[in-house]
Amino acid sequence: MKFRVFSGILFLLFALFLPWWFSFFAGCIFLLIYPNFWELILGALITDLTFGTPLSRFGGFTLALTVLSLILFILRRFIVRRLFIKAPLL
Amino acid sequence: MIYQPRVNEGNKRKRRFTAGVIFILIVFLGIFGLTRAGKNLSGIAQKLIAPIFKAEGAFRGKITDLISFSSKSELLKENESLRQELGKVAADILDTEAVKEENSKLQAMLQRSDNKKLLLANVLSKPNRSIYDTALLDVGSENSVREGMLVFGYESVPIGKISDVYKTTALLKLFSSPGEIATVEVGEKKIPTTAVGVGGGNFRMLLPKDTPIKEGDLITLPGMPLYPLGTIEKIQKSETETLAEVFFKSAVNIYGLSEVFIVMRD
Repeated sequence: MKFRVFSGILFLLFALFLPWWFSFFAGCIFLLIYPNFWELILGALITDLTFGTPLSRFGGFTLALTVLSLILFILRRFIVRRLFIKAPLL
Repeated sequence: MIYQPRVNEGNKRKRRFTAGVIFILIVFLGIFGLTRAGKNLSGIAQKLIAPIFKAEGAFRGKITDLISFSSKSELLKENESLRQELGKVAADILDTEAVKEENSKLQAMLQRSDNKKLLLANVLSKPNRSIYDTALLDVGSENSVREGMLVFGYESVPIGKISDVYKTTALLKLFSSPGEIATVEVGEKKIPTTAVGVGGGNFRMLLPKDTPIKEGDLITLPGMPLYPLGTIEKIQKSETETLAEVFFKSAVNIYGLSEVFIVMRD
């Protein structure tokens, strides 16, 4: 439980202070370890709300990272089952 | 013997709850992301986060001061090389100042004076932190900043425009953000074209192969006064193609900037 809380806080700090690709990669790893890693969506939402602006490459959608993390959150169940990873590891 | 699968009511409820939360999230995200109805929410988020970034900036400065300490001989060497560089830059500045003076005289003669008013803004968060390639600035509507205002890296190199304004913060959208299109003029003949941002302060243009341009040519924003975006770094021509790919980089290292200037009046 301690590790779970620590991971959540660490991820939110990553999302705020480190480049997005690093936080995203770390978030994916945490998501594989913990079955309900809601912090991934929360971190993405904070990033989108803080830095999001309509860009042509996202079709003017300003919550791209949140949607991506939500998709990953849903897909995680199927991926982990296929990979035979028993979660949670910690 | 028939075995009845044991239905765990607790797990079922948990799954239903998760599915419900995800569904509600999708609906909200769709509404907020496409209609920009979440701008108020962004304002609140920025209000909460801006002080954290300010504190981080101060902390980072102190850490850098501590880490950057090196030996006396190294410092002397660095000092000497910086002195030499400074001498060269001072000579360049003299030259530039003379051209600037001449330019302003000519503009005054043509009744096109360049009396722009600039507002200094601190960069709270650099563009590489977000997937949107935007930078968070510490000025907002309180400082009369408006959407669409031009932003300079130094006092005359445009790097982007203000895309969103909140009470105490503003978002800077770079010209070089991937997929963003900027209208530019190329070379001495001021050939009008569009440059597409490819990220990291880089741009790509497509021009007919026989266009009279060369590496090192200046790229500016259209109109007066001249605002240089950068210079041509590479021209790629292929025998089979009718168009040449032209690459250029912003004259400013956008990731190294800690301050920018917002053009309040041009």
